[in-house]
Amino acid sequence: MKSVNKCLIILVILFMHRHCHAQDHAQDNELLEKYIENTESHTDYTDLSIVYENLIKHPVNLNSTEIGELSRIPQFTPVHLQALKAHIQHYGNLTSIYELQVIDGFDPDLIAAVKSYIDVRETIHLNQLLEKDFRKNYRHEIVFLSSRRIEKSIGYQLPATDKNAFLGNPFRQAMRYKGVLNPQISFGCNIEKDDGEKLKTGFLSAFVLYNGKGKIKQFIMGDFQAAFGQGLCFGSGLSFGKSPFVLDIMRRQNTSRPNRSFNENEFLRGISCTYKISKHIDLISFYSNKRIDANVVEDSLGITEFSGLLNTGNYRNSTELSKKGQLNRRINGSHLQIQSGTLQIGATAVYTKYGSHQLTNEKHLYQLYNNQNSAIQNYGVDFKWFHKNLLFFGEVAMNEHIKSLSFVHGIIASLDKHFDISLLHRHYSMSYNPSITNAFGETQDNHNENGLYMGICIIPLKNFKLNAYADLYRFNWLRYQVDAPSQGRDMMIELQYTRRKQYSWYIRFRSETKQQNEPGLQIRNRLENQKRELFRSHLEYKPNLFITLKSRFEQVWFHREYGKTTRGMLMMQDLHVQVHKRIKLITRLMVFDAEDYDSRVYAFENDMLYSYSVPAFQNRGLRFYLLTKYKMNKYLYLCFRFARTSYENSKTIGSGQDKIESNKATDISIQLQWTL
Amino acid sequence: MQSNVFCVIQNVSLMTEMKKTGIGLSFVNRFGMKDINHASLCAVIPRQPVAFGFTFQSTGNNTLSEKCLGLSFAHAPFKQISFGISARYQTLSIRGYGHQSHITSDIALTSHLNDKFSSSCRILNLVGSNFSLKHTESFSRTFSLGWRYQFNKKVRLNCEAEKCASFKTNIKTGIVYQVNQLLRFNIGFSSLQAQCTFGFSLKRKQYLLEFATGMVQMAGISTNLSFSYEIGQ
Repeated sequence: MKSVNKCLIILVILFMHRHCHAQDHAQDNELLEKYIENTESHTDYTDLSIVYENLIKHPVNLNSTEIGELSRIPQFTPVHLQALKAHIQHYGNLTSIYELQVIDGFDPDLIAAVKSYIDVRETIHLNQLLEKDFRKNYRHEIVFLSSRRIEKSIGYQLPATDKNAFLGNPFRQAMRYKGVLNPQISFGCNIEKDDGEKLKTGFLSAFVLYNGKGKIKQFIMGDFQAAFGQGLCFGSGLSFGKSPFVLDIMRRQNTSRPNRSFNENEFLRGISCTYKISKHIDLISFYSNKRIDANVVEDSLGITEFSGLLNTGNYRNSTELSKKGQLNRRINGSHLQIQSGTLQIGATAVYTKYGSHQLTNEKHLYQLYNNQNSAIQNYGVDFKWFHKNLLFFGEVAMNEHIKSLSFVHGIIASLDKHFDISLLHRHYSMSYNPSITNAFGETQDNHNENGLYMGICIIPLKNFKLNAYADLYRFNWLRYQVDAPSQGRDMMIELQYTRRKQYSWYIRFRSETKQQNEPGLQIRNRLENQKRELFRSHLEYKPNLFITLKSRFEQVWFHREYGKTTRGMLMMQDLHVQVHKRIKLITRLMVFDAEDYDSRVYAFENDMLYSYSVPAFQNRGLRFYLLTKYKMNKYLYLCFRFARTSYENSKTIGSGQDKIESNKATDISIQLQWTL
Repeated sequence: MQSNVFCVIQNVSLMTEMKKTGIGLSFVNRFGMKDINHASLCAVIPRQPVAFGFTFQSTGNNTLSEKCLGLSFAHAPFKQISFGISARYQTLSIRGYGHQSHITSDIALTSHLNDKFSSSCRILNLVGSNFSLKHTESFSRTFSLGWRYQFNKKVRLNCEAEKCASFKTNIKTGIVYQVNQLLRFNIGFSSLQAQCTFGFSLKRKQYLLEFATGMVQMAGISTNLSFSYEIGQ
């Protein structure tokens, strides 16, 4: 009977195959845009693109029943996972990804969206498959990038004797190499010189990765990222908080991975090893010893202290160079992971030591609970449990004292195939001093925060989807520029309409209220409520395989309780044209008008391969960019980008040594990818 | 309810929607002041899938006048998409100060998502032409995004967000109600009060007569009268 059912399913798949459309990189960009649009504009997103590149190169095996594997797909809710599991139990392993169409909850749009990230294969034959692909996987990839801003900033015009004068030329040059020797061994390096830097002060990062089939599952030597559990005890690398993917609140990374980002500080340098203790138990241990940028000062008694870590990665003048690698950070830790069916439990212990310097004694009241020791110990226990249509997850972490106990826990539930809900509660103690974390939260430092998040995703009618979240949070102690315990709320509602993958339209409203010191010099600071509201209408249309059009209207209001309301707006039109099977053009024309920094507007931009940007715009002006992607042959891929912003109400751009004495900023970039 | 010949001024990409060659004459009196009267003459020659357009516009009087001569081209490479471009030669004359001429351009892009819904983008004065002798002042660029939804054969809704560099965002909404083949009513709302209008149009065979009026309490009434003719049956 099962085999008859299987045959019927295959027939249905063949019949329905035409409904699934090929996924292109534009769809990946849409996904990335929704994740990164709420983050700061200077973030390096290379890490994120590598994660998605990995998903494409190493798709999730749908026939796997491990929760860690299946939950790598952000679009899969517990009800999808449950339905998939039930289907496999009843009919056996999937034979094609299109078989998903006969499973409840998987519609063609969802399958098209995840198509590049999923695969079906017999898990028992994985090793044989790797052996078979030994020759095929031999691959080298090298990417060269050169870019510069045409208009020179003041830093280049200062006399060489000035301590703020830029020492290098205005070109940013970068090279990224990755070699795959065989399925087990790969290696790579990143070399980068920022604009204004001298070549010898540039950035070099390298790694060697071994993926084994025996007891040593993975070994990394060089630069890497590591994140465990919900990232509360330890989590390095890029992560995102609240986004229109209201159900995606659980951290999915639970391992070490090579660092391929150009971020010059936020990674680990040393070794990492994943040891397979038994079929269900893995032990990940790592050691990192790296110099990081910091403000180090010597007090009157001759004691050196560091007051803050720096993350700009710019070493363009003698002032910036004096802060380079001033602090030694040594981190060693271990993570034990037990996997049993749909339950995954982990325990993490991390020890961090900051050189021989002392931390600066608190100068401000808000720093009262900050760590005063040069060593930090973090311990944590985390879990993920997938049961029926529910996915539970959480982590408890602390330093060596119980007062620092902090936790985050949540649930993602599919109450109906048209109704999903997510809940997350977090309590990050003000006494908790994390080493490197990336847990869910309003702020990135994961301490002194309590909050409750709730998200819902409803499909009220065919083609319609409603996403909404509300996050209420409170800071029990003072923060920078907040001279009293404060609170806030963040709410978002988005209605999407999608029609046969041909066009989609969403409107979004977001309102966030925070408390901050009233601006200006006061005898005694008082908190004021600051509310930022955003309305967006975004339309995307694909009339055929060659053309994509996008248009957006966005309005921002920034209200101050004791001040005036300022406004910002943005309107843009994108045109993506596949002019030839080898050439693709992406262009944008955008106007913006933001009265001040608080009402600034953000817009995701397509950039070169492996890079994305979300620049912020204020003042009034016009932005244009043209990105050309040319696949020269099987091995070479060339990208060229021209971007110009012209301001109508400002005669200069930027400030300090980055200031440009012109109302126009023109950037050109060229990138060559060579794959062997 | 297809576009008429005045699309060559309003949204040049819509010229490809026209089936027949048309000419039109329009006259605008703002707030009863004859000194800022505006007149325009335009023509569209459709040759599917392309269309050509011509415009002549005049504003002002003997003391201060602005004249504009424009040539337009539109192309619909696909059934769902059309784009258009206009080049305009514009002259600004002030008696006693001389005159200044410049060339500017407009572009527009329209996509028809289905039979009912279409979206447009339009940029006026794309190059940001200077008009002062010292090249320190330029005509403002205007960027618009518009959507058009045809509820049924009789009712159509138009929405537009328009951003001119010198002004706040202007949100416009218009409803067109086709009573019968002869009569059509139009009503428009705008976040700029001066652009709130009410009007009607009469169509008989190839002839179309349109009338619209708007009122600003402090400034008075503005009226717009236009006439167009389509050549051929």
